[in-house]
Amino acid sequence: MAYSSISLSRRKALGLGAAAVVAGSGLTLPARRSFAQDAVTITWATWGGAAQAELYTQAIEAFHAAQSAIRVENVNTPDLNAHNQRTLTTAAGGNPSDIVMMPGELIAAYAAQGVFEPVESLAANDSSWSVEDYFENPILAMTWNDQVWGLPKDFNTSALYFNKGAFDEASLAYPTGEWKWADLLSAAQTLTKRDGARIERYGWTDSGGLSPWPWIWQNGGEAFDRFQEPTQVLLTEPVAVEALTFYFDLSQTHKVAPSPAELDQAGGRQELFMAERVAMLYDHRGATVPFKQITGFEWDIVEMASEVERAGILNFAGYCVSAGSQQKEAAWEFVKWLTGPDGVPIFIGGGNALPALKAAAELPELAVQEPFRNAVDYSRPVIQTAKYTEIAPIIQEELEAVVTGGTTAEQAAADLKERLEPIFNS
Amino acid sequence: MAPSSRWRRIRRLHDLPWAILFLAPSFIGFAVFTLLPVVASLALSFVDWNLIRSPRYVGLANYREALNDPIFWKVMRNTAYYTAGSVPLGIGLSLGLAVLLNRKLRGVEFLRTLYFLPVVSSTVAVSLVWKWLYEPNFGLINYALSLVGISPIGWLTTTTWAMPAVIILSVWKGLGHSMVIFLAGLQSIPRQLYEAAEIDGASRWRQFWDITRPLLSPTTFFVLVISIIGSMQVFSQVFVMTNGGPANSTSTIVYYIYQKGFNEFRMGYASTLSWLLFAVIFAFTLVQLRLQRNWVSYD
Repeated sequence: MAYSSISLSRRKALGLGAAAVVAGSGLTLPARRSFAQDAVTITWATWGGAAQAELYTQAIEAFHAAQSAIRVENVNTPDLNAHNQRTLTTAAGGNPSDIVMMPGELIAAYAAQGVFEPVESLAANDSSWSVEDYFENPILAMTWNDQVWGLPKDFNTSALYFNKGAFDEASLAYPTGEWKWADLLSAAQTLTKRDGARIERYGWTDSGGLSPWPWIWQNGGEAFDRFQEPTQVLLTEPVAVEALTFYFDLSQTHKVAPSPAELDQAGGRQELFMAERVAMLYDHRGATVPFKQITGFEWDIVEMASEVERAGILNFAGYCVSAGSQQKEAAWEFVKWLTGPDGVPIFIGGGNALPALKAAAELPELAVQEPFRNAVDYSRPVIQTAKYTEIAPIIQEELEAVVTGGTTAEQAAADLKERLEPIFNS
Repeated sequence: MAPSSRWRRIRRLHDLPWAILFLAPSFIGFAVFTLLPVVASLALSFVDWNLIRSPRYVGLANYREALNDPIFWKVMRNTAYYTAGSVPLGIGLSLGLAVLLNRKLRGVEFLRTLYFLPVVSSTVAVSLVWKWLYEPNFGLINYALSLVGISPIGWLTTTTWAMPAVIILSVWKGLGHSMVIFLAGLQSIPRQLYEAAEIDGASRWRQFWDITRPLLSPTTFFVLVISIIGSMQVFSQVFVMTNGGPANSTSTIVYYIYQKGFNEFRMGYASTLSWLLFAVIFAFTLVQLRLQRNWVSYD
């Protein structure tokens, strides 16, 4: 029987029945957002897991509610490596995302290849925006070759998370911000639990086991002669070698910290802490987000131990407008919104990071824990160089060789000097 | 010209367009997805290209760089280690399994299926599971070893054991594939030869050595060649389980190509490494083809 010959009342009944099913099931059809007739569509490339993807969706919805001239589509990649590869291949293919969220250490490398548009050209005729609205360090981290290549999304400092129950069990006083390296090592040795040759709980760990930089700074040394486009490697200085030796001895000699391979196998440092397989964790503020779900033990945060002086790493990410974007004006408007007083609370409100925007830092609902706030004064990024993709594997290889016992910290420092300086100066 | 040959010639010319038409889809696919990329890769090996800027011709500079690159030689040594470990072990075990399962026993089909299951499983998924099995403090393998008094081994966390760990996984995963090929070879050997040998009083081992081994040699040669070619291209297990570590101890040539191409975006250099790998595999295969005259019997 042809559809047209079905009686009107039967069609009506079918339609009403379908509507009743939908209504009864609680399903709601998404509200159709109305945009201006000449609205432009821009793409925003990001990386992150499900929790992060949810934040990006919230940001887009809030932006759409605030205006109707720009429609934003998010392209999220769970894996950072895959996101970086996608960024370059789409740029090479002439079809880049209009806005790309970038990890800080890669901004110089990609800017040098012409992937991004400098902020100066985007904001040339924009009096509504000023670089003075942001903290100095995050802007410096987005700067390369005397140009700012994007706006800082947020930044992160690190502090020492500790398992209070583990300290109570070992009758140890909780760590304080006055701890020195010896105090940290002593506590880590006491807190490390062994069952024969098996380690049930490590005393301490950090973000990946291959991050000696803050230790070098804490000991009064430097890794490179300067932050941007260094020309010399200073790891062979005695204070730097001493710091490297202490750092790697934690996993190599004292065996109170997991090696990078062990961390990777165990699923990551935050998972290790939540499973009570490590008593202390040196990590950034983002760890507080999953740690809020912990119910099995109490934890707290304190400033990390220091030696000669306080120092820490400043981690950051930013939003960059692609040089190949066909909608640079619209992209710039969205980037300003994302990093402005309306967009920042969406990402910072959960306690994920610290706001790079000065105005957001004053908001009471975005209050930052004292150890992270204090660390802002003495934290800095490690390096900003267009040759980052070339040097990163070399650094990893040499430092891994120390961890696996293939070489000493002193030899690794000498090898890094020998291998990196020609690249820096090429 | 004799009328029948002329007719055959006309017939062939008449069939030619149809032949081209039916071959075209396959050939177009081969040309677009295999031939063209191979030729492009050869061209890329002579340029410096990072995907963004235009390619810059550098002649043989990439090849010179590769031959002077200590990491290149290290990953080639790692690949040779992997091949030397996985191929003999894989062939020996799969041949043994095939011989054992080449009988009319109850449940033998189930066992054959069981051993073939890892072959059809996703390499990534299998590598992830084995990564957990290899966990030094809480993994199942170290737990089993502890029951017989063996201390925990840092399977993926030490340079000594990381590559053997990858080899063990690869052998386990590929066992069923070679086993099936050997089974086919074994079943093509006439039963009468074994019956005659039994009548003559030959032991099982004698039968294997004098009948199975020579008559299975073409199959063994085939398995050897594809195993070596496959082992030199190992990637997924390394990518998932170790990322080439610790300290580049499991970094193989294909993983190094991936790093150069997709982490450092040096497409020209990565293409050069691909062609050097091709040259090595080609040379190996030629050597094997030459040597097979001494031990492969096609009679």
